[in-house]
Amino acid sequence: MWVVWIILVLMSAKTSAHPTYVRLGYTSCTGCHVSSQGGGLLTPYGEGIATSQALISAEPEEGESESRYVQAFQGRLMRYTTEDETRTFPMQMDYLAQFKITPTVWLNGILAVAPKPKDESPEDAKSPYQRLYGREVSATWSLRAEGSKEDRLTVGIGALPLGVGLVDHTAYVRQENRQYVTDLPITLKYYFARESFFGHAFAYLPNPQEEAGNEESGHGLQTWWRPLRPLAIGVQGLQGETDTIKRRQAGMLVKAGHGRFAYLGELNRTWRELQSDKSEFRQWTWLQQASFYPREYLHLYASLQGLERDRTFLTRERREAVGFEWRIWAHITLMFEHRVRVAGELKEKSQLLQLYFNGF
Amino acid sequence: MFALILCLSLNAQAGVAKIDFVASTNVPGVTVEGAASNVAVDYDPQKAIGTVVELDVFQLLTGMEKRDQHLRDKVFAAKKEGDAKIRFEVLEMPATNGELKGKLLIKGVEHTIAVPVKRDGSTVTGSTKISLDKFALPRPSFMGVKVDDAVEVSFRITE
Repeated sequence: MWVVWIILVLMSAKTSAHPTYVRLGYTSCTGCHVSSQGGGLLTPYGEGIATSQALISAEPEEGESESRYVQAFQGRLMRYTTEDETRTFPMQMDYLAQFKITPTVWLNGILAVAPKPKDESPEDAKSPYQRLYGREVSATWSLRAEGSKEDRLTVGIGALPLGVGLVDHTAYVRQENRQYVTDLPITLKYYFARESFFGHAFAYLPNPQEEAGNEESGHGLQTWWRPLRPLAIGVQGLQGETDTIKRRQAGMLVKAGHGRFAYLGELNRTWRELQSDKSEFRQWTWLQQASFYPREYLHLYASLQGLERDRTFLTRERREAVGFEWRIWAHITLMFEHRVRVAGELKEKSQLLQLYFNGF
Repeated sequence: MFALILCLSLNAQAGVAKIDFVASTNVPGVTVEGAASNVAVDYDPQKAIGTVVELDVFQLLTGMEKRDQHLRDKVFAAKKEGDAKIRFEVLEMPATNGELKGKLLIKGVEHTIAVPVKRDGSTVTGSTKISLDKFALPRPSFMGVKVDDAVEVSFRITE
């Protein structure tokens, strides 16, 4: 098994998202990523940047022509430590692929293995094969890509284009905003970019893989305005409905940076209405992250995420974290995060150590 | 004492310039941005004609060390400081807002250019587009991303 891992690591290429690269003038994701939402597969340019920005860096070789089939593997090995326990486990394993039917039409796929539940009983145990699911199964049509103007249509299963673009399972705000409804519906997304603004408009239907009750339909918009080169200000909104609940969400976003510093911010208000008795509850969520890059391959950050809800069990929670991401090689990133979770009287400390592998 | 007098006389005419540049590329979402800060300028607002802004290409920084190296190696073919310089000499300076004219010399190729500028007291700001081809500079490319010929340059000179 380890031989396979090592081979995959040796063949890999970086696939994470860096919204903090706004400090270097990158506000939209499409320069480096195949997906307009960032994360996942990299373009040849993105691979070149990742290769040249690691501790063990190399001069990437210029390809003669772009390959029609691009694939990658990404995996996350995590060590989680609290006062009560220490666990080491594979957190994420994805196979990512893009197939270009023509230069402007392509298929996207991410086949993922869901992590093994912590408290899984032996009788409910599932093999990795049984835990496979499609995190992305979509087709994209690039309508225009000239200069600063870009238009794309994407249809299929995939994540909603919301938030500041932190692709990480630790995106707590994203999780709390959607609560139990799926993050991977069947979506029609329109991506647009112009000189000083860009964003996504989207409409979505339930994913058939989703459990009943979590099947949400809706539509939304996220748009960013770039008044200055190292600054992007965004707004987002969503209206969705399941059999039991309606939700509306509105949010403000910011990405800013200069030189070795970057700042990400997000503030969301969500209104939920129970279909049964028309009762309402509301919530605030927020995220702030300040980043410092002493070297290109070393990212130090401090983040604050929070939640405030006026109904249901948990009403207030805050998560503070400090951490680093150390890109040792283009293919390997070591991450550490020390977290403090404060929920009412409860104060819980934990540490996460992750080794992130990616690509073929 | 002599050193103090020399220092004061130099300061009497010293200015500073900040130069920013933005190069668009053939790929949407990718621009190359950089700057040269604290460029020493022999600038006297009362006698702006003849002002010379000169910088070494090693002063141009884009925020990525590798990209800076590519810029020096591939565009300016500069291996060490002093190998390639950019020099701009003011020929005509408007009293208020207007058009500044000057000679721009990059790696032995010189052209007279006109730049719309704003003057606010002793501060001069302006921006223009410079053609790489006109100055016989190659358009750098990296992994399928190629810089456009016209590079937007903006500057701010203060006393």
